[in-house]
Amino acid sequence: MAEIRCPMCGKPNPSERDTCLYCQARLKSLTGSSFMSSDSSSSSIGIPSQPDTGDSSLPDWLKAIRNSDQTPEESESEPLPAWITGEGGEGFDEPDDTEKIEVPDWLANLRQEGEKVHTSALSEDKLNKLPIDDEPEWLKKIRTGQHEEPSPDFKQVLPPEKPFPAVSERPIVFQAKEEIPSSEVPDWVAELSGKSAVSSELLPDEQEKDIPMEEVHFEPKEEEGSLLAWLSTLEQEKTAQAAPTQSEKPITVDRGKEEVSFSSEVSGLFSDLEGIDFGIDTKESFEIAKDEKRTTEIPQPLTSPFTSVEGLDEFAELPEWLGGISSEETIAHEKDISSIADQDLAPATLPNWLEAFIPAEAIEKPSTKIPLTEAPRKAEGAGPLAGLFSVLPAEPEIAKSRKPSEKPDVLEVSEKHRQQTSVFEALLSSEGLPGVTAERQIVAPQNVFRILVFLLLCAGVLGVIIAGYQFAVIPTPPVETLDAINILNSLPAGAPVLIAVDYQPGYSGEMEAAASIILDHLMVNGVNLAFVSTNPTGPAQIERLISRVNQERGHQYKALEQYVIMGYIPGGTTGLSGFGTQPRRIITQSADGKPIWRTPWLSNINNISDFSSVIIATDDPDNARAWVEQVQPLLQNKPLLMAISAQAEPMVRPYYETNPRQVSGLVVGLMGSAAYEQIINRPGAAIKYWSPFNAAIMIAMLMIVLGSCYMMVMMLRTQRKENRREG
Amino acid sequence: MNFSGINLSDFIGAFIGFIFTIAVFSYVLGDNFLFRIAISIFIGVAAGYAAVVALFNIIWPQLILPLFVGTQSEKLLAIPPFILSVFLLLKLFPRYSSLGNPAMAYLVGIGAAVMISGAVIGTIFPQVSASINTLNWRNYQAQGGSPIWSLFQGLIILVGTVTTMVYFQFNTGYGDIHLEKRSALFTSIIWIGKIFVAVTLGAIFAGVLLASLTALIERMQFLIDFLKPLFSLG
Repeated sequence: MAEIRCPMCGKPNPSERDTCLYCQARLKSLTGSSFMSSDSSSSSIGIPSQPDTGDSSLPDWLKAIRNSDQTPEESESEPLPAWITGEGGEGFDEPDDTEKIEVPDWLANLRQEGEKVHTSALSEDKLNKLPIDDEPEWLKKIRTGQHEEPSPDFKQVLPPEKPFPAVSERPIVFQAKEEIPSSEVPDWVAELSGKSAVSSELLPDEQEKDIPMEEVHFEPKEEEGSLLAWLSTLEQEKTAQAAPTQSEKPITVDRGKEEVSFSSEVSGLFSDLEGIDFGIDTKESFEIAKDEKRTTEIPQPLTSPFTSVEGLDEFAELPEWLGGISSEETIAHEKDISSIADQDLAPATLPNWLEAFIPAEAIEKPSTKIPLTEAPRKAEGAGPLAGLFSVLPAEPEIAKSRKPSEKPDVLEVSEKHRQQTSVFEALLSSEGLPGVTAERQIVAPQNVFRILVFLLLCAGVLGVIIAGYQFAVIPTPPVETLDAINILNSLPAGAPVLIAVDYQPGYSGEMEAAASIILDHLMVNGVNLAFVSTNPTGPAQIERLISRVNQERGHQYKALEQYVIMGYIPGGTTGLSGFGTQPRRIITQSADGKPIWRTPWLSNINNISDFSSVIIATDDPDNARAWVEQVQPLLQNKPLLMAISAQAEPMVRPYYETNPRQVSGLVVGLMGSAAYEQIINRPGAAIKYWSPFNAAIMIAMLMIVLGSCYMMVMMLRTQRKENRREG
Repeated sequence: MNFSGINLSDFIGAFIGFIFTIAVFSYVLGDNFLFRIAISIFIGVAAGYAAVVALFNIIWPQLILPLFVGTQSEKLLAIPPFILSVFLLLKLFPRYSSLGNPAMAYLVGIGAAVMISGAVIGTIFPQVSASINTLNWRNYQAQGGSPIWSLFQGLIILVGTVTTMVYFQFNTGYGDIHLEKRSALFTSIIWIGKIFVAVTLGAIFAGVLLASLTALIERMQFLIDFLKPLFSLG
């Protein structure tokens, strides 16, 4: 289905619609509606997208002519319209009675003059060759190619004086060779005629070659359609005086001065008319026009009230007898008419309705010369504003679909681009590769050195253990250990003491040595013990510690009676804080599921401060700090003791050094445990480990010293070699 | 260790301990299969034991039992933690993990608040006060010690505290982008602070070394105690 794109909103509409479905704008020009609807190749706006070149698009009268040319038999069988057949012998020149009534006298006289001119222009031979049928003679002449003379009713079918919708931006100019006296011509006609004269004067043959195609104007003096009243009157008088001479004067076309060139688009307007034998080689005529246009280009637009391509629109919807007339004949006939009008053209007053059709530029700029540099104004080609000049486009240029510019297939890469690409590729390729690290100087193979250190340590420790030689002197107990001993000694029998076992199994060797002597001391004093842990493995560590102390130290402490394993305190620091404030809410039962708070010695425990003392055994300084921060402020001057690993001492000792002390006593590592055992005179694992421990420390110190000396020697040798090389 | 006085379960436990000790010591030869097996078993056993402890010591007695067999007040108190626990379990499913955000936010918020308040009350204020009191002349008289030695200790603590804090002062003045633009006094203070930091880290490393040697000695003693009866029996 053919579509018409609305010139206002740009949306497609069915071709048969006169107004837009969306914006109600007119899709077809009022002045050239018939042409716009029939012709499909003139413009891109307001014209069906797919031109219908079939016979269906042709009017009936045109089909009839085509059929008669191709198959005379068929054409004879189909009756032609009454206006073509011209019953009564007059044919097209004499319309029906109604038209006769409506035709004024001046027009009737003009028609008669036209008939005289027509009949006088025909030769007797041609008249003899006319077929005797219903068709008018002029139509038959057109069919037979005898079209040297214009139609007698040419003036009557001239277009109105108003501009036609501009189908093309390249108006075609028909310019009369003879000038009309200014006294006989209306002002605006005189101005336009003067403009045309100026154009012809400004365009000699040499200059015409440089005229661009787009600026060629077609200026018919008289076009198809109804003739203006004033002009008909003038021509009637002119014809009455000079008809005999005009009829005998051969009509010629001076191609050298008259501009009869057609643009390619204009020729496209008649593409649908190709194949129709009008007696005129239309294609050839347009080809001639194209050739002439190339050589007779006008450098500036020349406008006149008759200068419009819309004249061709009307021309296209003319009956076939007029459409078959070649442009040369038309020009000749116009020239003839204009010569008649020039003689007796008198100034007249235009009626109001006619003045309304006068283009604005003809009034505003009546006689000024159009500068060569002025851009041609475009006439609206479609829509309700068709035919008007200087109309703002409904669609911006950027909104029009255009074919994208072709880009080269090969990407142009400069040398700089190549360098950047190579750098980028190198960057991407190096992304997955491991970074190159500086090689370290290896003194000895790592595995050998590691094994050597292990063997030395094992040899020293095993030798001391197997030999049973206690060569190390038990150290003097430090102050913090003495404080811890004194506090535990002060605890009465049966006093509840809370012990937190918060060390990892890996440090059980060191921590059990410290914790066992404290437990032993508490068990000796008959203190009731409550064990908790913030470590999930704490309950197992507690079980192992108690069983070891009972087994090694000879105690018989029983669960629930003398000690309780409260179990695991969840929540880390938060749970510890909760346990410090509400121990019964955090710990509800023992690790083995027994109710602990029903035991007699725990029945009075409601707060953390109800314990006589709190002892923390931990290897982690963070755990020790958490107990100090969360629990110690809640103890209400109850002592907080700690048995810590040697690695936690630097971080925990400040809590002991404070005044007042946050940690009342410390048992640090194996040394503090050995001193503790020594003071309470209950030797245990700490004293047992003390000599191997000292042996291992000595071996470690020896290796450190030897290693440092070796490194110094190596550095001195390297420096000496460098000095020799430099010296 | 005398095997004559222990039962079979203790012997099996000691034997497993001996095997795992040897497996861990095999790391001296490099990363090997025995070491990886021993480490994996230790981690698995610890995780399993922690799960069992959490289930039977925490979840069951403190959440499930009050919710189903507890009193009315215990049930009401158990409902909020139960709902939060269910939402926290939804973190395992990416589609519904956002539902666990409130419970996680509650835990993180409460934990942060407790830690900050405890650090301020339990560490910062007491430690600042103790650092100030090191130079208090009255304390020296009350303690009855040597005032010169106490004053010297107080000065060491003061210098160490100040220089260490200056060492961690990484910002410079406007325009002093490069370190060499720092003043000589500032650079010297940083250098002194660096010494204190090095001494502290050395003490910590020494404590780690001592703890490790103690663990080595304890394991060596265990091996000897385990093997000694076998050789005496043989």
